[in-house]
Amino acid sequence: MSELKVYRPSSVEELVGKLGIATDKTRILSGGTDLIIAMNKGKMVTDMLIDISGIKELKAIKKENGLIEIGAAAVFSEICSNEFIVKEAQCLAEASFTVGSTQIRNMATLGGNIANLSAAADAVPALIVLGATMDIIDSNGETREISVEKYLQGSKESLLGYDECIINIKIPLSSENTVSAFAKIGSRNTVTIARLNLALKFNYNVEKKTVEKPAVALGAVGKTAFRAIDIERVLEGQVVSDELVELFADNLSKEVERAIPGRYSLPYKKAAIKGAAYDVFDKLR
Amino acid sequence: MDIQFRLNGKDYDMSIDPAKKLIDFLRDDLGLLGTKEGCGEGECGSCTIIVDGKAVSSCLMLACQIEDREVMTIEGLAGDAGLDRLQKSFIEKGAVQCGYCTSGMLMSSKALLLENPNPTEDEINRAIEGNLCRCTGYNKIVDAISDAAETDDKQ
Repeated sequence: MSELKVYRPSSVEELVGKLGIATDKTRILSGGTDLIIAMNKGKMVTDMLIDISGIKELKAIKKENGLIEIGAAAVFSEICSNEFIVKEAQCLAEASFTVGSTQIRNMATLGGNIANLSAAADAVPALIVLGATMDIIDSNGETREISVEKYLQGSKESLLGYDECIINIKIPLSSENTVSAFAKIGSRNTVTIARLNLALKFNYNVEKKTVEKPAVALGAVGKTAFRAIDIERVLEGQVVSDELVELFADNLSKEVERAIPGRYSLPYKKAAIKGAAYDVFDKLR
Repeated sequence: MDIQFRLNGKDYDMSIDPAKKLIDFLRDDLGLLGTKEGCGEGECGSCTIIVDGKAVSSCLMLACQIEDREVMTIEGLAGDAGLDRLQKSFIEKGAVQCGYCTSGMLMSSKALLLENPNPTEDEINRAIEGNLCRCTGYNKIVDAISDAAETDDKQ
């Protein structure tokens, strides 16, 4: 028998109980596609795993009260084919579609993608532009709500404590004319970590053919994905045209330069991001 | 930890080391050597098995994660009537050379056909995108899967 303790709560209530005995070496096991690899490589000293993959309510995807609610342990293969998400949160469906391989998508979870804190996490830019929030539960059974954007940009204190666990991610439903898209560039066409990822969302004014309330998020260029507020200002109120797409691409290139000055990958990424910009608008057509 | 699960059509109720990797549990504890470890990182697909109808990488799972679930390994693919249609097609189409990727390829393609009995070539490619083969160049594997899907159709 190995020394590592593994607990497999079957409800959120039981999860809270296990969080109560967690230490700073305890880890939450959800999909395992990052955690188990880190453990295999000896990169992680852990005393206890709390496996949430058996908690049915954390796997559910629901639409109610003006929100899409995705359980933290919902897997990407479910997310990318879920009818609510495909219809109302296209960029998240697209991002989920590009994660790993078929096997990885059947195991990897949305909560894990956020909590693992990879700069290249695919779901994250999509969640940021969608204005997603998440509920985090602690060992007292109390929950705190925080936007995904704030969670990643905030201080170390806003990150998960060792006795906390993300339980769901909520996406506010958007209006009929809201469109969104996601693009990813990796070293391979599929089964690849992102070297760049990009999400765009806006309300399309059908009459004027203009962009309204745009949200742009860029990932894999910096410690964590972030919103490109300056580029949002550039897009606001503009007519959707080839010229606008070029403007978008050029601005993104400058944003990449600002984000990773001196990085060896800068020449590649500041050019490649333009391809992502064109991809994203292609998907919106 | 005591768990119950269904494996290759048989119900189990046993004590397991929950922290053991699933692939090690299958190979060492249950003697099912058909599932192979290639990379241990979930990249090569040779460890692919089917859990609740979905292809997953057993090198990235813990034994306890099959609790109350239905598992199929390569040993469970052939039925009482003999080889599965996929296995026959793989043999007939020359899709097996060294055989190391074959278990995983069969599991991924079985999972595909269970969900989508008439896949397009793109859908086949996507289903096996997480399974690497160093020998065949993939063409014959894709042909075999196509062939299995078409042959099942006619029956």
